[in-house]
Amino acid sequence: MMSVQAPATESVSRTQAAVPPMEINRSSCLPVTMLLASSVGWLVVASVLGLVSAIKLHAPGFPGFLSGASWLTYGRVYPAYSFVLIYGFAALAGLGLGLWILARLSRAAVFGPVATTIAGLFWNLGVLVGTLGILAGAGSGYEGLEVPGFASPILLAAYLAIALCATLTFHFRSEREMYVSQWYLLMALFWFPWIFSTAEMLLVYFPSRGVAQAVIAGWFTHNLYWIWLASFGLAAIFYFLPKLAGRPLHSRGLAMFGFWSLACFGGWGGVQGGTPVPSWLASVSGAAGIMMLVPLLAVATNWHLTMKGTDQKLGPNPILPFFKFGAFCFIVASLLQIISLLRAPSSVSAHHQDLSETIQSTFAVVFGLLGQIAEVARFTHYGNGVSSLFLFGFFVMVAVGGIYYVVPRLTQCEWPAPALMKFHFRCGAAGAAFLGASLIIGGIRQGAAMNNPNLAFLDTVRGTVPFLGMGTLGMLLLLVGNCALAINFARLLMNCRCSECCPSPITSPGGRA
Amino acid sequence: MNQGPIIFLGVYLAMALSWLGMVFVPEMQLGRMQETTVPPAGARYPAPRNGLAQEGRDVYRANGCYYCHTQQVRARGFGADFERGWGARHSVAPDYLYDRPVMLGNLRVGPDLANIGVRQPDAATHLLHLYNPQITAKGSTMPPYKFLFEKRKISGSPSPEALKLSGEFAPEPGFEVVPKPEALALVAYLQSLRADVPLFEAPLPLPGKKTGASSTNQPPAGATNANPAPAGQPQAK
Repeated sequence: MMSVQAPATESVSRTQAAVPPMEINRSSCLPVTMLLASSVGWLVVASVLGLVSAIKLHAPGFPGFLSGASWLTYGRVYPAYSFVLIYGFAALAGLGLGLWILARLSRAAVFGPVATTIAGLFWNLGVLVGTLGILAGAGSGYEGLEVPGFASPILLAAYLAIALCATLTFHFRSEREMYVSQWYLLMALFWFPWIFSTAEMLLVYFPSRGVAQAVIAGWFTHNLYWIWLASFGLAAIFYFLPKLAGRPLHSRGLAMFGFWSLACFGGWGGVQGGTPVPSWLASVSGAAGIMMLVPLLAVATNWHLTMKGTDQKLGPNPILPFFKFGAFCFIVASLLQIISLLRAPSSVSAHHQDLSETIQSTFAVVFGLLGQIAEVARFTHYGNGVSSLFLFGFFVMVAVGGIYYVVPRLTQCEWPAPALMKFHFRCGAAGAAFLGASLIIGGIRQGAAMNNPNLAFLDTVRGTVPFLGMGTLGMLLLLVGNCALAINFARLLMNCRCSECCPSPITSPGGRA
Repeated sequence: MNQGPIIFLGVYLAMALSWLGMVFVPEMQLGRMQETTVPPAGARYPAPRNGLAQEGRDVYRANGCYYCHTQQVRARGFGADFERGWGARHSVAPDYLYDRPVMLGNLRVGPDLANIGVRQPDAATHLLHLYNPQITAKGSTMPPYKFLFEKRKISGSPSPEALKLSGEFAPEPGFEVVPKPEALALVAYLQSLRADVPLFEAPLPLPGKKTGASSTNQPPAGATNANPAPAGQPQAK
């Protein structure tokens, strides 16, 4: 898709002169490298915090002499981990990769590289302030929106500046033909400021009355995962998967269908059955959850047909597995999430007279069974298992694959230790699978025990400990893998003669450039 | 689909619709809820929490208690919330009218706390449990909240507020453990968590009717974290 020339019929006034690739690279080098490097730093911080909170969940006395410290209590380390992973790593990596993909596909130089870099630094400042605030006990009290009220304006302002630069980069594109990834990136760039400012206004600054808060918080978290993060990740998969496979995307129409159906149904959710709010909210969430099968099927089919039969033809490629694994985890995590949104019908009629009723009651039985899984999974580790699978299996994998691809092209320097890529993939895949599977299976067992009133509650908690231990092992693997990336990245940046290949846009490039 | 504006417009429309459905309409429906009167005396419900309990809610929020404890009892037939004795009725929207933030919770590593003030009204037991959960619930995975307490040398006569610790949990001779103001506020908040007033939309079950929830508000002695279900009693599920 990169070789498509701008159609000659394009109106001249709107068409910019094609920007040579070297120019695109030069403009994107500083902001994208900064965004990606800081995201990798936060990824390591998030992995450490995640490991500490995972250990504390089954060994509350950890870590020995520090276990009495307020800032190390589980209820502060866990939200700090979640905040750093999403706002520190995922946002920065998503924006960095998004900016690079946007500039490449638009054949345009990054608009305002210095402004983007400064805004990126402010975002980092916001994440730092927010993390310290959460550890100091200033967390907001809403899961998914842990950031304290005093850090959120920094984040929002920085995000708006970066998103504006990215949008202007897209606006001044010389390649008029748009690719799937650009749609998803525009959706991601645009969606976040709305949901974030809504949630901040109605939850933190001028809180709504009563349980309306819970509905808004649920809506925000649902959008954060299934629209914002999903869009960044899907944009990367749609860009890199066909590129690495050396094939065009199977169907543009199918991709368009998937995109619009995600936009229509992805934003409606976040209220689960049994919550003390009007029950139509849970019904709407459940219905939108079922409708999410439509975009899921569309993207899965598209990826499958694009990749079909390429396994034998492609040589060994250390980066492609990241995207394949990420795509697979996206499908699995979405299906598990949809199941958890279903509601168990109060009664399923067993008599059926004609075919349509037979089909209806078959559906009712199937959804009834799945709804019972949802009821068992409620209030257990299942939910955290699904979000771990989504974050580490899908998003981190895809973003890390993108970083491995983009950074050498950006800086014109090779990875100092290419073998670490394979090592990272193995650690990351095993870690995400361990963490997700142990929390999901442990969660279902926990829920089955919890719904049996003859078992003492403490026994339902003790029963999860072996699974949580497995989860800790997964977290450890993830930390090791992410450290491999951080070491590789740090060595690349230190060894790279940046002045030659990537001149700073502030100082004028030297004579060699 | 090569027009940026079409993408922007379409995405904006999709975003606005979900905002309208999941933020605006619930805000209209729930955000103007008023307190109600409950029979027989016509008392106002819910009553705002007292000042100390409100401070305690901040301690509850700051230390992320809601990551492991829910504050919602589901309706009969959803799970086993009633059978476990976590509430005499299911939770409804008015129960949370004055809470900022509302911390419903999503995970039950510990038991539901919507009615912990009914189940365990004793402040001393709460303080012991917070200081070290192993004292009151052996084998619990709840972390100790020692930073809410102060270990100090006894000067003069021992403080009447000092925790009554014995055996392995007791401090060295000559020392005592006293709760900090945060701990007292948190306990006041926990004691204020009680949604046991019958409402029109959530009546209390009649006494004598065999529901399995009639005798569940009696806490078993010293077991705040344990489930009171006796093994021999048949449970309604």
